[in-house]
Amino acid sequence: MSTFAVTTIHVKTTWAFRLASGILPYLVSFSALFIAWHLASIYLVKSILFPPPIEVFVKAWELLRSGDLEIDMLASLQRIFLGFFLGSALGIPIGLTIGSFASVRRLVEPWTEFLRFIPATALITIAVIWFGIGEEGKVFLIVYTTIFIVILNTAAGVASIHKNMTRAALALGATRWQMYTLVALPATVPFILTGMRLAMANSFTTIVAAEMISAPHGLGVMLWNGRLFMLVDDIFVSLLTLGLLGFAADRLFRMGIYRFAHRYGPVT
Amino acid sequence: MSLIRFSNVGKSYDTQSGRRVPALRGFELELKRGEFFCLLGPSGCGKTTILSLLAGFEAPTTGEILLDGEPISGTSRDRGVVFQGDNSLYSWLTALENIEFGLRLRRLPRKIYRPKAMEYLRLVGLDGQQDKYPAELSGGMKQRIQVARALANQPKILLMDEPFGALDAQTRATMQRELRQIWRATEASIFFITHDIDEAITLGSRVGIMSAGPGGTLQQVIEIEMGDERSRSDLTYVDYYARIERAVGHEVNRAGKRIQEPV
Repeated sequence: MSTFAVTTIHVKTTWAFRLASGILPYLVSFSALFIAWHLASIYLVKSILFPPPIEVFVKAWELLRSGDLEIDMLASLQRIFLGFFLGSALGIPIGLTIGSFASVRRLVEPWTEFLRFIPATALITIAVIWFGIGEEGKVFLIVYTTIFIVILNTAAGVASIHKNMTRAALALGATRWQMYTLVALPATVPFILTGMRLAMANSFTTIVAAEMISAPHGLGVMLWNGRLFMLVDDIFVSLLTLGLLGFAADRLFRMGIYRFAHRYGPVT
Repeated sequence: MSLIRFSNVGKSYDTQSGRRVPALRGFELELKRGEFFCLLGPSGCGKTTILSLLAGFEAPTTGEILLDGEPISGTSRDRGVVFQGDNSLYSWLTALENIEFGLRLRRLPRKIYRPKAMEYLRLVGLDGQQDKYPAELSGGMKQRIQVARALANQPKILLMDEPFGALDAQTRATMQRELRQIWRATEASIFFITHDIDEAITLGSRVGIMSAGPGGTLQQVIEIEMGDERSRSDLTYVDYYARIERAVGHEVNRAGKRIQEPV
């Protein structure tokens, strides 16, 4: 009997502990943010240009009910993820090759070192001229903003592989290609994932700027229209949505890493 | 025919200041099939260089190394290597997956490599640890994985570079005893590098003593004529120890008189 009781208590403790350590801090932290925002807008600023959170939530609810917010969210997310995954898919092999072969590094580095200092936002105009106002231009910008961070992190990861790890594989009879796929790639996974997380944050920055120039839908469009028509609530809804989506995307990415890439020892 | 033959092997490196520093010169040695050869020497004498050349990680500047009469060029799976630290293990693979890594490189079917890897896992005494990652294992266990990983590939010779150097004395003694048993059981040829006289006498069937670096070479080879039970209190053992210590001590003193440390 006593064993049973002990077990029950144990289960309860871990459950409560999980809740406390998992969700509770977020709840507290977000509530504090909204309370501070509320107080600031009611007592400090007292302007219709700075609506309290409740007003923004009501507006968000209205936009959700009408379906407008979903359309904008989906439009932005689609561009972000398409560009983000495309950029990563290109950046990882390039980074691995740069990191693995000194000759390739010397050839490609001037390109990456030159291009990565031109911010994606500076390329918006040229993207519109090249690709028009369709989806391609926006996806191009996200690819652009993703690829260099992923390349740099991947190449740094390859460079940090210990000499003995490579030598052991060679002594076990690994071919060039096997070294690449079975040693360099898995050993670099933590660096790649860190690069991708940074790139994700960049993607959010870039998409808003890109959509402000030309797009039928998207959170950036919402911001821009809000400015044009003095819809302050809309602007705040867009900002809030961006923050929450970015937060959620990063959490999901980290959860995915933990679930599927745990064995590679990622830094989350 | 001998398994391995070093003839007039030398290696020098270029320093950053552009000077050429010899790490090894005129190294001559023949290794017999199935023997446990321990190479003993003070640090900086070039013993790790020899292993590196034998493994094929680097090419000698002069001379050549023959394996079964064929000159060595580059790495190959007939020379398995066990490194000192744990940074050669694949941290994303479990103990078992690390051991079967070499077999997988040969594109053998899982049906074949799995049981074989399990066999070597048991040989090194890691039963029950197969699903653990290297980070979850102790230093001694990680070295066992390395030994099993190299042996599973069935190399012609196993090269070991101070594999127990980073272990505590207790674990080291256990590992030495078990390595000797594994050597007996598998009839593997082993080339073992150490700076520890006790380790060399405990393990080796022959002990080679290096002269001091930089640019060291083989000074003498001593045959250890003792059974498998080698006790430090044994008179023969004490004798060997004194002999080897004299030879090594002489070299250490010589090295101490030189100021520069080789690369």
